[in-house]
Amino acid sequence: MIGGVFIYNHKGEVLISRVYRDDIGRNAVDAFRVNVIHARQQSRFPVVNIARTSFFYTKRSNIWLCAVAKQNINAAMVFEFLNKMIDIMQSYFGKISEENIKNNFVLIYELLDEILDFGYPQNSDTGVLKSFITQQGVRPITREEQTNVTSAVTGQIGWRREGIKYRRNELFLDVIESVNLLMSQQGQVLSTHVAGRVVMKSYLSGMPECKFGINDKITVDNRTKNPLDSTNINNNSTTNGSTNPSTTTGTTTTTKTAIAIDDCQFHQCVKLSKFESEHSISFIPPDGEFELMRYRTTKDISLPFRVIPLVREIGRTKMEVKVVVKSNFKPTLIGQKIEIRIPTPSNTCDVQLLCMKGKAKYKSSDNAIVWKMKRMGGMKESQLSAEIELLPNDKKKWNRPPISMNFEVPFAPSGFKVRYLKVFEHKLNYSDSDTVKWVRYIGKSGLYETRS
Amino acid sequence: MAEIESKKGEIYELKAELNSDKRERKKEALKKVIASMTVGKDVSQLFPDVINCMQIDNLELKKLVYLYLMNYAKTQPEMAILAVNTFAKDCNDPSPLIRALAVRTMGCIRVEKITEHLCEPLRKCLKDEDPYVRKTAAVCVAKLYDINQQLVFDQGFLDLLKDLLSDSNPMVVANAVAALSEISEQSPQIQVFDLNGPTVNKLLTALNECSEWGQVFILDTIANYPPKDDKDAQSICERITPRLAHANSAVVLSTVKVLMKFLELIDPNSEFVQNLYRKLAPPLVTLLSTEPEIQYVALRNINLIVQKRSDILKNEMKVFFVKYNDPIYVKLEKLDIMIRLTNSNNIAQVLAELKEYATEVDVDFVRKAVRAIGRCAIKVEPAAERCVNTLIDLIQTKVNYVVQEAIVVIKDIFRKYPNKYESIIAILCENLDSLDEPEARASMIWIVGEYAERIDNADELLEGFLDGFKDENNQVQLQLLTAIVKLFLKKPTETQELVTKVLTLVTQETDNPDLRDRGYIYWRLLSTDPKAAKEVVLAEKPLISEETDLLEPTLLDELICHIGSLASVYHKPPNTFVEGRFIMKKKLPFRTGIHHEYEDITTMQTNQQQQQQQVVISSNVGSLIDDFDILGPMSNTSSTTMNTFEHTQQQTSSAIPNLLDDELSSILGLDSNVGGHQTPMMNTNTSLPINRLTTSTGNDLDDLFGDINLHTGPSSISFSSPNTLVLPKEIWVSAQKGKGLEISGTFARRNNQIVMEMDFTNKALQSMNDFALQLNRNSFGLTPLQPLQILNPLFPNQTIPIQLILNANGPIMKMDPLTNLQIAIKNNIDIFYFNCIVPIHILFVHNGEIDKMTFLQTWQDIPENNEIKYQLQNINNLSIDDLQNKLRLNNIHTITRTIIEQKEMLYQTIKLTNGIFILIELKITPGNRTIAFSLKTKVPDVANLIIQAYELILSSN
Repeated sequence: MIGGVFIYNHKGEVLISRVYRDDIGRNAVDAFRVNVIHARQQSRFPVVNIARTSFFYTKRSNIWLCAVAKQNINAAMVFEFLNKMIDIMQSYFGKISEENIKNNFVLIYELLDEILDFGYPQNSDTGVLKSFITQQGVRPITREEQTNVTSAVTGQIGWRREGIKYRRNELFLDVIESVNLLMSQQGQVLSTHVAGRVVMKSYLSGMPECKFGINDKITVDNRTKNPLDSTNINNNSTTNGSTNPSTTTGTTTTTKTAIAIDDCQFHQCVKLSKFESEHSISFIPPDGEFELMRYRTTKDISLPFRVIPLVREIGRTKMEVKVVVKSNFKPTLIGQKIEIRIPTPSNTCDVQLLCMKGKAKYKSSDNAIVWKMKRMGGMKESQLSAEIELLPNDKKKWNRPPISMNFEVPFAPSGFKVRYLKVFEHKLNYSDSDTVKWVRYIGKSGLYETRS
Repeated sequence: MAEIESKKGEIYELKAELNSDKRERKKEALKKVIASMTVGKDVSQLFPDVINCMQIDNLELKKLVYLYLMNYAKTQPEMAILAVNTFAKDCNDPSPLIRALAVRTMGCIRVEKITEHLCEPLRKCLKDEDPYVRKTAAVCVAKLYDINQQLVFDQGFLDLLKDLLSDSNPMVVANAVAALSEISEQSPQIQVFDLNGPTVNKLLTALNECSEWGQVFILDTIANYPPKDDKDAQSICERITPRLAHANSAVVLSTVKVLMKFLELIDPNSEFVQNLYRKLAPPLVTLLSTEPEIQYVALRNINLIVQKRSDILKNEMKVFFVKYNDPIYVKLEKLDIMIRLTNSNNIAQVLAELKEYATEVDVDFVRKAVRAIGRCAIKVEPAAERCVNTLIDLIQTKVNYVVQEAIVVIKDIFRKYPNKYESIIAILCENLDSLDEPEARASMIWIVGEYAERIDNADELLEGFLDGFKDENNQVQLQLLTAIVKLFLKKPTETQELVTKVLTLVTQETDNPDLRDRGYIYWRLLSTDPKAAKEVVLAEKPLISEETDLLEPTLLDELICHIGSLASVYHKPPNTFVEGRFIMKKKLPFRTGIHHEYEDITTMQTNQQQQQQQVVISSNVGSLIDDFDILGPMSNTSSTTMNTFEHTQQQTSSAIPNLLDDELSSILGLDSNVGGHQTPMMNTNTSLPINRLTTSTGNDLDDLFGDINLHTGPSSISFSSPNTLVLPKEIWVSAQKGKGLEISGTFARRNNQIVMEMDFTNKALQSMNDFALQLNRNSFGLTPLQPLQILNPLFPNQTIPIQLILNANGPIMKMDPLTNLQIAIKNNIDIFYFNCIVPIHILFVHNGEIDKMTFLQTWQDIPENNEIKYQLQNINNLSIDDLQNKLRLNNIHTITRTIIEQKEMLYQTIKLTNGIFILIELKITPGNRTIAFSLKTKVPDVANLIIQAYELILSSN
């Protein structure tokens, strides 16, 4: 298991060092600094083995986080743990920075003591941790509260404590999708997928049970024609529509609006075995914000924008670039925060720009032309042309990096729809209809690239 | 001086503050102490003052004190004892948080004297009413085990820990599982953790309810459970597949590990397996949208999965396309997987991608992309031409490392498609001067030598290389030597001078024995029989395999058992990077199939083996195959330690040094060392001596023993060794014991069948009838093919010969000695029981030959302590050829024969009827009758019998 956790600043000074196992000595701290942080050649792998000790590391801004082990431990778990640790620290004190870490080092030690025992990761849910590890340690905890804490930490519902009360029961659902695209110069889609997340903010009293329904092909249409279309989901789910509310409402929607989800993953609160057998997503949510679900689709993605580049090299010292952007969604909708990055060779000396809409700038530090538009309606088209002058001395061939694009649109490009979210709380007196629910769809750009 | 003063002052100040009455000041002081500790300053002098703060009933303060205590207790054991009382007191505190904190901390204080005092509090906490305390206590047992194993046994903590497996709280179960599996991994010799059906059932139930980390512990443990049968495996698979949808990638990968392992037990053609394949692909793909570090772990594992079961991801090629912003380690891994998934359907897309990658900035990545194009050409024949053209385009870029890499792969393409693309040689030759890497130079030289007759100035080119011969890398030197000899054989008139020059150079001016020996051999060949030289040096080359860079299969299987762990990231077995502890070599479960009858003995063997292999010698093959060093995550920093480690390993297994050498086969005319280890398959049929055995010698010997040979006609000659050595019959049952029936018998191997030959003599006064025979269960499953048939009664003083053919597929029971056979014979008078010994050479089967590579791998796979050495006496002073023939007749196959340091080395194999292989090395010093014999087998029990067999065979006439 994990032998120790170290945090360094960019100079390689130790900010936090917590050793869990006897086989990890103080020299391990130095070994990592010398061989990785101070190494002349940047290390090329996130796991390095130095003198039979393995170092797993990741970097956030200037801070190095490193876990050490001498055994053959579960590497995926170590990285998941490091990421979790970053999440926890961020939710306690915000940005991971040297100053924040120095100011909170006692807190970090306390957390490290709680979330790792002898190198075994323990309950690391922020909500629960916050209930008994506080920044103001002065707050005395009553006996009763203490038993609540311990049952929350170890309980079956380790992510939620009992006795939560809200005057108004409310929940927010954000469907956030990032569209990834790689397109060839000729406009051929080389690969595309949507990585979606359903983020829920719940302010619900008691221990509510929620049921969540989406327009997934299997749920909507139990008799799929081709099981290969949605590979991960088995379709042996029960077909008695009466017990499964999704099928009753599902018959009204047409199959066209249903989407094929390649794969989905859930927060630990979702009962996975129930999902597997009945294909229903039911859970008792943590209090506050959490990521309920992650999913991935590859089929029938409506790409919100298309970039059409035209690059002409005129002699050795001049280049002409023309970029057309087309928006491809309903005219009533508006895309926002549009930014297109057009890479330029490193020997660029001057750039003349002309664009129909928005602002375009040549950023020599980034070696790119950055073209920004605050918003753009659906079914519109805009164009930028640039003349680039080059210094002749550069011999190296320019390996045209792809043109990348950022944007935000108010719909889900995969076609993902929330069909219902029902809340049941048996002990307290509020029903599903008393709960206020909000749903929002955001489509964002992931890696949205067109080769030039 | 001033600095020391100020330091003293600082400590003094802290001391004062720690002893202050105000809680806030104490706390601030403690924080300062911990801060100094973190930076590595020595604040151990404050020990007594800090301990004093322990009494205070404040959780936060307590935590700080404990943190200090864990750090310094070891350096101040005397003082640490002062803390014992507080721990004991805290373990009785009404607050579960304080109880847990105490039990958590005290396990981290590694002071012998303290440990003893902790047993009672720990025992209490293991039965605490609060689950939070119990889950902490469970981990504490593992901590204690790390400090003092005996104490844990003596105090019965293991049983308490096992009780926690049935705890109502899933978190407690998870921690107990984690602790137990770590303990059992540390001490595999004792059965700490009995994973049986009911336990696994409990774990599977807890799996649904515990935290993400708990799920990882449980899944990793279930992976070690051997399912009873395919149904058991199937039902566990069904219960864990929902975990594939978990957001935590460690849970997903551990689930994949269990599935991959248990899939071995399930019929691959069943619908269940096909379904599972469909369910496995999407989560694996999803892992590629996680953080890059996790992507890296996932990709390293996918690389293994694709090698083991390529079907799972066969349709997912596109997701492995490299993104411009991927970190380099992700890019390199994706590229590797892309090539593994390439086939004729997607080759166009792949090639377009690779071309794109070859223009990127990162040198390692570009090199790999270029190499990948070559691999595509070799793998997908219809696309070869397009690949070659792409490579030529790349060579035209004149980017130095691209050119070199391209030439290396083009050499392989030439090997795969001889005489097809020689038109490009001219382009290659243009770039001769820019090559500065040994591999590229060696490849280019090989190409020139191979196609010398089509290159007008081949002699000039090679002569150019010869100028700086001494400074060249060894690989280049060997290649150059061979190339010049080839050139000479093709154009003898113009190049005589050149060949003399190189031969003189390598034989007189070099220290490298390989080079020198190869030089001598060429020289001798050329001077004695140029025609033979031509046949040898210009022999047709065997095909190279399509897939390169594959992991060696046994290593791959082992790594599949380690999915998700570091071993799967490094692609190395754990014992190569984990220190000291005993490590059990993990194995994939074995599906019982058609060979049902051998099952018992093989499982028995594997069990034995697992117990013996506490320290397993790693297979060097893995690292040999792993030829791109840049791929290994251990490259830069750790290379020195790893190398020395592997070096020592190689020394230990030096018993077969020359088999390791590809050079051997290239001496025999197969220029394999250009292809290096990528083409291990080519070494198969180089062992000449075997083929020299003619049927006539076989017949001679046939006549010696072949007195009966009744039922088979001349067709038996088609086997090289129909009959083996037969011992004279001996009396098994005396007339006295047999109430008048005397039985003498022996065993023979005729026409590859085991024959029991007996003479029944009636020495009584009445005739006998109703004969029947039965064999008891025995080690090799020998059983009569048909029942004993004696139709006529056996009259007094009559003798009848009986031949009974035996099968080796009967029920198995281990006997002592192994070759013991219990026989029962019945007649109208009585039943007689007796024992006899089956000479083991009767059990050697005729098809026991294996190829050289397999031999080498098997030899390495068998641990060193299974090796048995012996001094054999060559009593009859047989010549080596005679000796070989004699052994060959008894189904002892010579795999290869070489000379090392004037000693003849013979490498031989034996296969027993039950499939056990025995590997033998004979070292014969000419003129000396003593033969150094050494033997390796996975089942060492047979070793002594084998030695006896050798002695018997060698001493026979």
